[in-house]
Amino acid sequence: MRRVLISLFTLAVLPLALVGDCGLPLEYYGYEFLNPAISRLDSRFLPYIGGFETLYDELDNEDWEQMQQTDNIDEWYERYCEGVEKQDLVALIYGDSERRLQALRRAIADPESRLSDLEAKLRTNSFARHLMKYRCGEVVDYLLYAKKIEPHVTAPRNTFAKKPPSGNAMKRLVEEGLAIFPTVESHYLRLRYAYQLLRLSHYRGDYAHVLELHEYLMPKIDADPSLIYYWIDGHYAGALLGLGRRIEAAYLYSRIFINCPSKRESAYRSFSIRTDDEWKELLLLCKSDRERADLYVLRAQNDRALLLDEMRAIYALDPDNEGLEMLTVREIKQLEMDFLANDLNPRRRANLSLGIPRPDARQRLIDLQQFVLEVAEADRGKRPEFWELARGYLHLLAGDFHYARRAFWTVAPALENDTLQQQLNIMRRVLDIMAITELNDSLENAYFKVLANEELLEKYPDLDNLIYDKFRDVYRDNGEYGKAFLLTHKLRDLRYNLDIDLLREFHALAVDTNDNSFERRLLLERGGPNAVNDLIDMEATYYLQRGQLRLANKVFRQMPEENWNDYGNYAPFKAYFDDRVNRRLPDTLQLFNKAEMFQQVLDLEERADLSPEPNEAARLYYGVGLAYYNMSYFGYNWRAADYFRSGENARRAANGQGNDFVFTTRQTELDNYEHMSMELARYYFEQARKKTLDPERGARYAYWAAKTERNQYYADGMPGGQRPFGYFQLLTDYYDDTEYYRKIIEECRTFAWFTGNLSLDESDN
Amino acid sequence: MTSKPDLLVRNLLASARRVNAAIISGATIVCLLIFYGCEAPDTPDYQTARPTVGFYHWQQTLRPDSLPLHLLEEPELFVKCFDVTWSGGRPEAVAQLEIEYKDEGAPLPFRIVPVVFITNEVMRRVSNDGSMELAQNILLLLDNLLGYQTCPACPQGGRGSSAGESPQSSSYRELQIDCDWTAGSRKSYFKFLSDLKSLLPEEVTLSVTVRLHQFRDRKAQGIPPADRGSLMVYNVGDLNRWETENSIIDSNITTNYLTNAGQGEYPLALDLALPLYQWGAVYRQGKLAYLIDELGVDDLSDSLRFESLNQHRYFVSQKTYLDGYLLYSGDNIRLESSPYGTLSAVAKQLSIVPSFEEQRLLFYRIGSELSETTSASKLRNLSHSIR
Repeated sequence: MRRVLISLFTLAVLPLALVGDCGLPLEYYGYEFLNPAISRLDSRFLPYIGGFETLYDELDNEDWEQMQQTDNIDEWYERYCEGVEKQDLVALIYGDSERRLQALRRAIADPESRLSDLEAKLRTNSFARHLMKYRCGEVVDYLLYAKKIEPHVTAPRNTFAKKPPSGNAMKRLVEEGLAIFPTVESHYLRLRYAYQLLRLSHYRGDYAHVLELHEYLMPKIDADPSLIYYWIDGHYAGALLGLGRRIEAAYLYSRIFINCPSKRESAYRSFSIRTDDEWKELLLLCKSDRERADLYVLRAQNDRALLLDEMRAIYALDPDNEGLEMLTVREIKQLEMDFLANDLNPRRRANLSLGIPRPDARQRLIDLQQFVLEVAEADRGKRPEFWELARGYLHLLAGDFHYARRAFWTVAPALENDTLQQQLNIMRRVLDIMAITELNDSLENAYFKVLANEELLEKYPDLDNLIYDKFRDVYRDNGEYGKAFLLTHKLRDLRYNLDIDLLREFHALAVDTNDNSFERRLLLERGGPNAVNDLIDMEATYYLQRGQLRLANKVFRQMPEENWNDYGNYAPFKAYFDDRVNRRLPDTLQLFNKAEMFQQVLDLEERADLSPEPNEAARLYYGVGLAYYNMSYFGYNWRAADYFRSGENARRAANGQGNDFVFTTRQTELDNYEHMSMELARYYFEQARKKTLDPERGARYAYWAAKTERNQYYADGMPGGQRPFGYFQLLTDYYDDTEYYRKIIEECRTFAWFTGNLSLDESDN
Repeated sequence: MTSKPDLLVRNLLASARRVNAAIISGATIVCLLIFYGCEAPDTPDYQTARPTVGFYHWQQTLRPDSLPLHLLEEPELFVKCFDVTWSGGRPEAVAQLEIEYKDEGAPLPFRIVPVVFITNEVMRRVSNDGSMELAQNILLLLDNLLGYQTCPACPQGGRGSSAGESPQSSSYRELQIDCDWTAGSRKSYFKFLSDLKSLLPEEVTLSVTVRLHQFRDRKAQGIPPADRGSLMVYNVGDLNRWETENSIIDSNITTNYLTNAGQGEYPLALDLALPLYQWGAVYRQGKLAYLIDELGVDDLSDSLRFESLNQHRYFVSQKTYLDGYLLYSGDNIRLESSPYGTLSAVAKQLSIVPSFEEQRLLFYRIGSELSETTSASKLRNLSHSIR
């Protein structure tokens, strides 16, 4: 016999998930507003709106068991006219209660015993009290019997544990139940006994006996309508399947699927049709076109089903079938992912790699539009408003805003159902958003109110994204790049590559006193509570990077003094022979915040300019040079003039990959500016060298200038292909008799090589 | 350790195999003589021996009576006993083996090498502490499933141990773990294997499956701490693409993996595993929708329902049920198989894998239609092609 086998073994090589660049699974990003509840189904039917198999993957056995338990408890609850508490039913039926049930049974059997004689847990249990009050010994007997059966008919929690060899025990339990059955007065309990007996025999694999039992027991039961009948049908169908009566089994499973939510999953799994002939036979077995339509509803639950195909079949058989609405919603939800606002979706490229929109989505949209139009115009269903609403939304998805608006306008007066009304409201809102071409203060304020409506956002969690994404496009189209930027970025994203125009625009926005709540919300949301100070810091840093220290100082001091220390403390005046960007500084060094540091550098320069003493002036210029050097990309205090630094960019710069020290980065589409310029540092080292009268100091300043010469050469992409050694030559020509010269030879291998004190192989680069 | 009588039987079988091979294939004799020429007289047996032909059994129900057991060169069958998946926040054993034999309790005509498939997700999620517990649970369940299982060549009785104790004996000599581990799950998987090994009796061999990417990218994927491995040489193509020629086996693809590329010998002794199955891959709107196991040309011969596009590809021209799957008009089907010619070419590529005494050539899977129709001599020829 051929068996369908999608083996884990053989499929283990299949990719399980798409993975993004950084190794994280890609997730769909888009906008969903269609509420499945607009279809006419009870709420427990709703989960399978996304396809039953998807649901099956999401829920595990315990979820289904819980659903069945809930159904069972509801059954008992109704039987007792809601006169007992549900948790008390759960405690006695599902709890570890066998001993207590036996005590209750004894008490019921004893005409002398009273409620007060029972143990506390029974006395306080409303179900037990009820059973005691009405002396319902039959019910307790049944519960005790059911408890005995349970281990034989349920899978062990630990799937690795040994299963009890229960064949004979099950047989004995069947015999015991059969002996009890005729003595039971309550037809409802008889129904439950019948269920347990069929269940036991089914799980024993004694299929013929299941059929015999069914024939023997069921005519003896005259209970009210109950879900238990469907549970019995499930085992009866299982036995039919085991006996090869596949069509009858499939028919029963289809009825269980439609009518019994807690058994829906197992019925769907067990429903099996192998050939066209079997399908035809099954259709013939159905008692009505509605039942036939339900078969199509069932098989449409397959995630890979072509829904419209099945929907047409359902419609032809039973135009008012509830499943038709549910399937329509499911198909529209897929199309919603394919089309809704796809042109504004910032992650549409990533969605494409997930197969969204689907390659055939456009045709599916057209086909569904035709079908919905046909249904809406035929007016054969009970709820034309559903179809009209669906029609409007499909127009919206197709981009036909005019027809969408007209359909919504047409359907509005006919809507009495709250869910449909709410759906119409959100569809209209989406339509309004999609149709925006310009924004002004009043529109922005109006949408601020929408964004502040937490209840609405909770209900439609994609609404804020849709508004933001739409606004971003509109701002961009209208030249308001700052706002467009804020709608897709955090304010701090600017720090990768400071843009002075945007900084100024945001600053103006931040201090603007007009009454635009949307702008304020935007800045607060994207910039956080310290947005103004952050902007000041960024602007000051921008000027520092461009060597405009006075302006940087002036801008930074716009910030309240109490916040200066929030932006770091620095000590850029220390000289280290080797360059390391992450260096632990000695605790003895004096630290400056940015305002103090800017002032300190400015003061040093001013004092140097004014100093009549050449050596002192040189020492001061050297300090300024060190500060500029150490705040650069190459220095240990680089954080004073930048926010992000990548070591990889040194290599890229040397390869000429940067553009004015701006490098692409994964972190942001804005790219990353690296503060690599050595111009100012070299200028001040050269000033110091020229001023000083001390050769030792001169050698030191020349060496630092040499470092700037080297750094600049690589940062500029190695122009000419030959590294300049101007300052090395200067050192050799003028400072070769100094101690510092000898120290450089010891410390710097390149210089040692340059001076002939090291072979080329041994030298640094 | 191998018991002496068993070793004797095996040596006899090996000798018989060599004789049979010589009788069956004159051409092979000529080739061997030419190839081994002057070396032959002094060549140790194992250097000319070929791998022993064996099989995997992968269905949930094992019905020994219905299997072509004559294909087994040793009374030994690799039987998948259950899968371990991750469900409800813990490992779960599913698809547990059921054995339907003519007489419950009667000895099986072969030894079972139990195989346990573990999803990579389990290995990614199982905690450090959970690893030992998982190993114990797996052995416990194997005891439950195989405890009664006996065969003439097996030690009698079950494993005779409870969790936590060091077992004294086992109803199986080898246990194989099948997991498509990755660099990300490697640490946890290897720890699990070490835990499992520590629980097994000394005489039980722990083997693992090794996929081609794990074989080639051994630096990144690591070498599992096991006694031996089975190199799985199938499922090589991209099944998701309609354009793929044959995802089951393709010598143009395997050649890219079967290379040492300066890496030296794989540090584990490797058995070899080749496919012997076929299926139909159904594509709907450009995406893989189903795999229909054992689908063949005859199943698609109804031209009213299936239009042949070329030798292996079909177009579904009307909605129809096929083997329990509902196909829609417009679906495409590609038949994939394990053609002998391709197997032969791949077998030659496998000469890169070092041989060793008692090396096995395993076919996936016994019970497939191809296993029913392929002769034992053809399988032996494939085994010869490797050496």
